[in-house]
Amino acid sequence: MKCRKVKSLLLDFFEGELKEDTKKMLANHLVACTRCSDELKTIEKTLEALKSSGLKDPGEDFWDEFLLNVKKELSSQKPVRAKYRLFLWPKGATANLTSILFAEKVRYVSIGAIASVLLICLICLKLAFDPSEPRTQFKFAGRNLEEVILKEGYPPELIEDVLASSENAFLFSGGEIKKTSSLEIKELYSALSILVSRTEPLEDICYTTCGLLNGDKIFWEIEDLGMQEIEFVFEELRLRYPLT
Amino acid sequence: MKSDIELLHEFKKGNPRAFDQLVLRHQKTIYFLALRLLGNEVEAQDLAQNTFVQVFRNAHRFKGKSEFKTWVFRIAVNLSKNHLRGRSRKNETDLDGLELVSPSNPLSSVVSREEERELFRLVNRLPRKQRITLILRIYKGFSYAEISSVLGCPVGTAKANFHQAIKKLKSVLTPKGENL
Repeated sequence: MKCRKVKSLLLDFFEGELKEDTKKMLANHLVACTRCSDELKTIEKTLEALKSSGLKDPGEDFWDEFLLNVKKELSSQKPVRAKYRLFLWPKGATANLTSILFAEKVRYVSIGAIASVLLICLICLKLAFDPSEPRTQFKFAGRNLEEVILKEGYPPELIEDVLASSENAFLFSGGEIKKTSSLEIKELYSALSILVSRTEPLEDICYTTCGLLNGDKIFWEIEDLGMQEIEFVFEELRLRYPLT
Repeated sequence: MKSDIELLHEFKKGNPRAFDQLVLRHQKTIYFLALRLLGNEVEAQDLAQNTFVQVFRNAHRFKGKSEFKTWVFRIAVNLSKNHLRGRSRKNETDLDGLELVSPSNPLSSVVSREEERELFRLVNRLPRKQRITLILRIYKGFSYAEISSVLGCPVGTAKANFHQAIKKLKSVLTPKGENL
């Protein structure tokens, strides 16, 4: 075994990661070669020096208050909202509507009205989620969004969320995304930022992406979205949808 | 003692005390990880707390296919990467300010104080992925498989990152004049 090869295996040797026969060959070489054995000592010394350094403990008070601070942080942030909350539905409207619909005089009329509304909703849902309808193909940095997500190894439910968000953004931004443009991602993000400005209750991926757009880290660079920003978004996605 | 997964399961069912226990159990590990990664106590505190906020919010997404510890580490590492990226844009490097505590027995120290300082200066200048890998491997005892799970990279990449990091760091302790 030559010195060059031995040096490349020294760390693995030290960590006990080598196979038995390679380990024996390397050990034989080390007995005969001072340079390589010195190199091994340096590696040992480096790792020991790294391991021996400690960090200052912030003290008991810090640990006593840690959980309390987490709870404070949780209560200071916006509560997680329902995933498919109806946009632009006024506060208290549900209660008012219920009281009107179920008043004594209009009860029978309202039952018919509710049944009609439900029927219309069912038809709309059927139309909206008809599998025969081709889904709008959104692209992410020039690549098919669904393929990118699958390749990145994200869970399938994320695809649904991203596509749903993209479609929502498309619809709420006035439906003017040029799907064939090479700047799809920028347009998608612009659309999402419009969405966030129009509708306050945003959740999950939509919320994340828009949060990134409106946050100080990304927004000022929206004119110059590069791979770093895309990676950044993916990291945020990875955080929200950890790989398992 | 209940396992992390059992506690998380209880929390998902609506027992908030189970979440408290998870925080108390992992707060030190996550704080010191954050401190190693960010090198700033105030930022480390924020990041550690934010990690548990994310655990709280995303608990329903944890499917139990990886260890709870790996999942929490992944959250903390991702948060720190975002944080460091923002910092590098502003050209800030607080890492040199990290206060290290010498080994309890100074005689047991294998290097001089000067060499130690130089070593950590170099650690803080390592590329982000190499530094995270080094910290997870050296201070948290993670296997390459666990590191790959936390960083979302192949096992081989995790190993290569660690090797590259050590290769650079050992130059500090290599006697002058030796060919690296």
